[in-house]
Amino acid sequence: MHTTRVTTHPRRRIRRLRAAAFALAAAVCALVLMGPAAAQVATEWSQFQGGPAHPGAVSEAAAPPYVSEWTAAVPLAGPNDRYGLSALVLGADQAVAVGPEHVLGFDVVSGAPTFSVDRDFGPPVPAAVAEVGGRQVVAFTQGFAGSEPGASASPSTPTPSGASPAPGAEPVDSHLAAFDLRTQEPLWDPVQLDDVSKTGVTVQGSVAYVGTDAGTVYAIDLTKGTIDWQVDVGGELFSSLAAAEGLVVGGVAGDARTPPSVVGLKSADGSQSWKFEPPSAGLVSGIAIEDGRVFAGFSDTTLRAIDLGDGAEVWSSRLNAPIYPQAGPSVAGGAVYALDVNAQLYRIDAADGSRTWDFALNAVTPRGWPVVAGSHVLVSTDEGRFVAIDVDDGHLVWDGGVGGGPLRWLVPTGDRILGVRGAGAAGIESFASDPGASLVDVASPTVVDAGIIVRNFAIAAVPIVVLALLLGGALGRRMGPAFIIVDEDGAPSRATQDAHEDQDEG
Amino acid sequence: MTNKNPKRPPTSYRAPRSNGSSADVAPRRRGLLGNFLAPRPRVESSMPKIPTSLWRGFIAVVSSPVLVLSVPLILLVEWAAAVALGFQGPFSVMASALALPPVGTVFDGGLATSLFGAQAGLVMLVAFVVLRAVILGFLTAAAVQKLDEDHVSAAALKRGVRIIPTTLAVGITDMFILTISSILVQILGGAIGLLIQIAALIFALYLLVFAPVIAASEHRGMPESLGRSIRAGRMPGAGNLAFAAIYVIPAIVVSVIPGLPGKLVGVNPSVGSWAFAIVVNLIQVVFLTTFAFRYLSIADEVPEAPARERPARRR
Repeated sequence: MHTTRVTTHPRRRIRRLRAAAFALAAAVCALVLMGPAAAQVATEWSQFQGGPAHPGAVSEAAAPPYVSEWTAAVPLAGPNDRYGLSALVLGADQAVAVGPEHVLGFDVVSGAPTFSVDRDFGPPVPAAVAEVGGRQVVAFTQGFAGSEPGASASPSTPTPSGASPAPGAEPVDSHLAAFDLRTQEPLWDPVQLDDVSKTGVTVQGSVAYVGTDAGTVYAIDLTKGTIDWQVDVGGELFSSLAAAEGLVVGGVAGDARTPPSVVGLKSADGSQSWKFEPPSAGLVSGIAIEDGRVFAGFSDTTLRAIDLGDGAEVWSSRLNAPIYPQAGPSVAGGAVYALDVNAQLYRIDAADGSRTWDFALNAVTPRGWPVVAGSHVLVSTDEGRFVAIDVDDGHLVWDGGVGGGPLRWLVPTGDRILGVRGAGAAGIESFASDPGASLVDVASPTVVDAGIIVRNFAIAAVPIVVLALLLGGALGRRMGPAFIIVDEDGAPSRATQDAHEDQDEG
Repeated sequence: MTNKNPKRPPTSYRAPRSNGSSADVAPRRRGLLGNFLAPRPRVESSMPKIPTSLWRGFIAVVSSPVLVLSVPLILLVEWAAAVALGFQGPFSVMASALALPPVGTVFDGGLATSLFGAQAGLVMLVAFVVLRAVILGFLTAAAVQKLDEDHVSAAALKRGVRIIPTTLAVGITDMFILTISSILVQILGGAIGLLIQIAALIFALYLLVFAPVIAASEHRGMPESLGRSIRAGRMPGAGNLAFAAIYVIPAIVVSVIPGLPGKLVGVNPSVGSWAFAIVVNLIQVVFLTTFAFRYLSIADEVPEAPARERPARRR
């Protein structure tokens, strides 16, 4: 390692020491004054998409343009290095991500790793940070339930007594676990689940809700690590459960012939409050809840609003492509923001489902969750593109360009935006405002510009038509008409030289 | 063979030649399904070879200002209408704008469901099929007149209107065939389902593609044109099934191949996207004209439908 020693003039050194002391005092004052605010920021995004209702929105955030601030590399892991990090959640100034075999903590300011907790190999789905008994805890799911490629079905985590799957069923490696965020000490023995869980954890109060591929929704008391209730909703649960106003809402997957459904369960006892089923078969996206309405996308390329009280459809809005189960809408300021699989972002009026604007990014985004950060909607794509779109007019104001591997699950926190990278640059990347860069003002390619349409049409059509007619004129004169009329046995009939040559050859 | 009569007759209708075929001895007149189920006519057709047909179809189109100009103009109007209805792309689907049914019917179905959803889209599909029938009527009439009289006049427009019932019947029949095939696809799924769908497209084209040409060139009514189209398609040695496949498979490939111009969502197509769509639709019209040429070449050999037996009157 190369070390360089630097000598300085004594007066300068004293001045620098004074300046350093002043800066330190200022920093301490700032920390004391900003302490509550910082804590508030840290708890704002304590769960996937910002909270149990998954609104995906914050009122204030770092504004575009952005510049990459730091990156924390976390190589892909698992069989064939397939698995990266889950969406981030925040707690105690740390970003918590779930990897295939670890739950990892990162300092949000520097990106430095803060902790690593082992977990059974399982789908990297979001954890949740919750206040339980006066301490911040991280709840997460683990284990593939024997469904991972090339793995045995035997559990590596012992099944605790008092928390078992269906009677008579073999226990599988799928659990909900929790640890203290400060000490990383486990709270209790992992709670046994009946199948692999891909929903991540949603917490309301001190109860964690998870769903499994077997179609079971669990309510688990985080104070004791016991199952309050478990309910079979009749189909696979792929996306995060949402909770609000005394209900837990989950999207139940359908298939090519069966329609999906959205089910509202009473959070008190798990009894079904309502069930909404669209007429078309397929899947349902992730869910967001706001102001007594549930918003979800469906395979029939619609976004629907469902009444949280009775499960009735309030409106349905057509999109150009579906929203996938690993994606979902965001809600803020009376508008729903939905990102379809082709990265077309729509702003839809939450009251009546009318489309205010849309912006087509034309990229593949199967896990697109837009994030509303102040007056901008932030969107990232699997091509690594990160853009900001103005919430009022739907114009693109900043475009970070493509590259750097897939960028997913943006999290606004204080004066930075965090995101999870996949593929070659796997890990976490932080973006901060870049006052030196300038914004742009680009309308969506879906906004009609008659001048461009006519100009491009003319530039394309005129040469083709002229060329075709010149060619046709020459060929027509040379080849003559298609048919000549012949009189064979007194009956006029069509004939062509070509056809008769063909016949002769035959 | 001599060219004794270079003048063209006032009408393109030709009385069929009697050639001692099965047409003379057919026992009973059959319906549309009967035409399909009946034994193949034992007439060896003098259908031109496929390259010859395509060459003639190409020359007929590019030497007709009406046909050449109508392609980009119809495309522009259709795109403007689609955008006005709320369609946002991709523009590449317009490559099938002037496709022959049932390939064009697939395009109509995709556009209708994209604009109006699965259920309302089915209703709107009928409206789109009607629009396609009108456009196909005009283009077929123009192609037939160009082949027959070496020019396209206002008479083609009148003739095009007259054959709309036939083009509409073709569209609706194709819609029915595609619905059945899509139900089979849902039941069977996978590669077999895909094969069934492609086979259904080829089969529907093979049987019905001549019907508008027959209506335009021979002044026949809709049911007669459909029946005669089936008989013409099934003539031995004509290579009609192979030619239908030659049209359908590339038409599908063009509509699904990635990376072609206009694959992005957006309503302001680039120059490249327009050029691609115009060229592909010119090729669609070349195929339409080629089918017309092929039918007109063997029109005299297609057996007439046998007379329908009248039930004996009771006294």
